[in-house]
Amino acid sequence: MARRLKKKVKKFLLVFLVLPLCIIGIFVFGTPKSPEPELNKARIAIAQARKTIEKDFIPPSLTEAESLYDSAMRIWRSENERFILSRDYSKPKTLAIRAEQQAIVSPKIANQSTTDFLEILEKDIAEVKRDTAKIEELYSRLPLPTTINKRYARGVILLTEAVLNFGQKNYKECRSKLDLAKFDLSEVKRYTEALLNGYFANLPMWKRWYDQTIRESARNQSYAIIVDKFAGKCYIYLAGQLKKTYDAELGKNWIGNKRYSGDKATPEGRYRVTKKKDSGQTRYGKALLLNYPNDEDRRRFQNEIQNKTLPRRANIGGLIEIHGGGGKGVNWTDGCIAFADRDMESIYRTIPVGCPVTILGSLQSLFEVTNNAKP
Amino acid sequence: MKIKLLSGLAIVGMALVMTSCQKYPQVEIDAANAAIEAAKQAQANLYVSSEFNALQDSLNTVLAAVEKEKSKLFKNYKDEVAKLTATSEMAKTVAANAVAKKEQMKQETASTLTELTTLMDQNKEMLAKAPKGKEGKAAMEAIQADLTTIETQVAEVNTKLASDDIINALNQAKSLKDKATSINTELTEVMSKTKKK
Repeated sequence: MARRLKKKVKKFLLVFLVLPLCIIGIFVFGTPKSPEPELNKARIAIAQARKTIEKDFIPPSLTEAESLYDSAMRIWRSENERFILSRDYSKPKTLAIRAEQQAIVSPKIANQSTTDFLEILEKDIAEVKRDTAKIEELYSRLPLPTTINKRYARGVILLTEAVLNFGQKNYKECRSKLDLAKFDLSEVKRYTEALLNGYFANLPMWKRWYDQTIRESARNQSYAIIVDKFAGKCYIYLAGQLKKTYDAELGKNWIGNKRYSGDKATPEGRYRVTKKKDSGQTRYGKALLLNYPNDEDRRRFQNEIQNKTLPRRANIGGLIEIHGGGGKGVNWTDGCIAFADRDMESIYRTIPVGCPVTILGSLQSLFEVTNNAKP
Repeated sequence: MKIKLLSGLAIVGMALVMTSCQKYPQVEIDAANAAIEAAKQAQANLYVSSEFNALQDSLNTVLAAVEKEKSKLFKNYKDEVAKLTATSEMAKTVAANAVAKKEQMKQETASTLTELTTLMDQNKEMLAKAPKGKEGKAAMEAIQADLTTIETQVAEVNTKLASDDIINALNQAKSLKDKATSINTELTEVMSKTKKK
C-alpha cells in the first residue's frame, strides 16, 4: 500500500512539476532574443537625424536607414508569426544595426551638402539683389519697352518670393523662385546693358563737343548751354565757367539721337538759339527756339532715307525748343528740353539769341554713371 | 484512472496557459494607422511638420513594443493597447492642428489680397487722375505695365488657393503687396510733381 502511494506521488510530481518545468525551461531558454534593442537604437538614431537635417536636404543615407528599419520591422513581424522555437531574428538585427549606422552618418553627410547649397544660394540672392538695385537706379530713367518693364516687375516679385522662402527654410522653393527671377532680371539687365553700351559708344564725340563749346565760351567771354541728357541736367556757362545748373526734362525716348518727326527723341549735337519766344508765343510760358535740324542732322537723315532705315515719307522734324512747363520729374516732351517755369524765367533772361546749345548724351562714362548712379 | 484524468487536464491547462494571452492588438494598430493617414490627408506633414514627425516616431515606438511583446512566450499587450489608443488621439490632434494652421494661412492670404486690392484701387485712382496729355502719359506707362503684371499674378494666387497650395499662395500674395506698395509710393511722388505748376 505504502509503495503504491509512493509510486502515485512520484507520478504526480513528474506530471505536475518536473514535466511543466522542463517544458517551460525549453521555451524560456530556447526562445531567441528579440531584435528590440537594435531596432530601438535605429529608431532613435533616425528620429534624431530627422530633427537635425533640414527637410530639403535629406541625404540618400537617411532614406536608406528608414528603408532598412522598415524591412527589419517587416521581417520581425513575419518571424513572430512562426512557432516560437523556430524563429530567427538574426536578419532584422543585422538590418537594424545597418539602419542605425546609416542614420548616424546622415547628419554629417547632409551638413556638407546643406552648407554648400546654402552658401551658393545666399551668394546668388545677394548677387540678384545687387543687380536689381543697379537696374532700379537706372531703370527709372531709361525709356524701356513694355515687355521689358513687365519682365522687371515679374523679376522683382519673384525675388521677394525667393527671399520669403529662404526665411521659411523652404530652400528648394527659394532656389526655384530665384532661378526664375534671375532669368527675368538677366533679360532686363542684358537689354539695358546693350542699350547703354551702344549709347555710350558716342562718349568721345560728346566730350569733343563739350570741349569745343567751353573753349568757344571762354574765347568769346560769352554764354553757352550744355545739356547732359543722361544726367537730366542743363549747365549754363559764362566765359568758360559754370554759372548755373538746372534740372532738365527731355523727350520720352531720350536715349539716342533724334531721327525723325514724332520719335519723341531729344536731338544730340551743337545748336544755337535762333529765337526767343515770350508768353503768348508759346504755350509753355517762355521758349528758346533751336536751329534743329543742323547740317549734320540733315546729312544723317538723308543717309537713313538712302539706306532705307527710314521710309521716304519720313519727316526730319523741327521746332525743337528749350521751354517751360516742366518740373514734372519725368521725361515727357516730344523732343524739346523742358524746365520748371521759374528756372525757364531765369534762363530766358540770361541767354541771348545766338547762344550755343550743345546737347550731348553724357559728361560721364557708363562706368561712372552706373557705379555712382548719380549725375 | 483519476490520476490519468488529472494528468490530461494538467497538460491541457498548461497548453492553454502557454498559448493564451491577450489578443494581438490588430484593431488598435489599424485605427492608429488610419488616424495617421487622416493626419497626412490633412497635410499635417506640410503645415505642422515637427508635430507630424513626432507622431510618426510615436507610432513606430509603440509598434516595436507590440512586436517585442509578441516575441515573448507570455504576451501582455495591455500597455501597448493604451499607447496605440493614445497615438490615435494624438493623430487626431495633429490633424486638427494642421487644419487650423492651414485655415490661418488661408485667412492671412485673403487679408493680404484684400490689402493688395485696396492698394491697386488707390494706384488705379491715381493713374486715372494723372495729368492728361503727354507729361502724364509718359510718367504712367511704365507703372501701368507693373499694375498689369500684378493683376495677372493675383489670378495665379487665387488658382493656388483653389488647388490648396496655401504656402506658395501666401508668399506670392505678400510679394505682390510689396510691389504694389512701392508703386503706390512712386505714384504718390509722381502725382505730387505733375501737379506742380
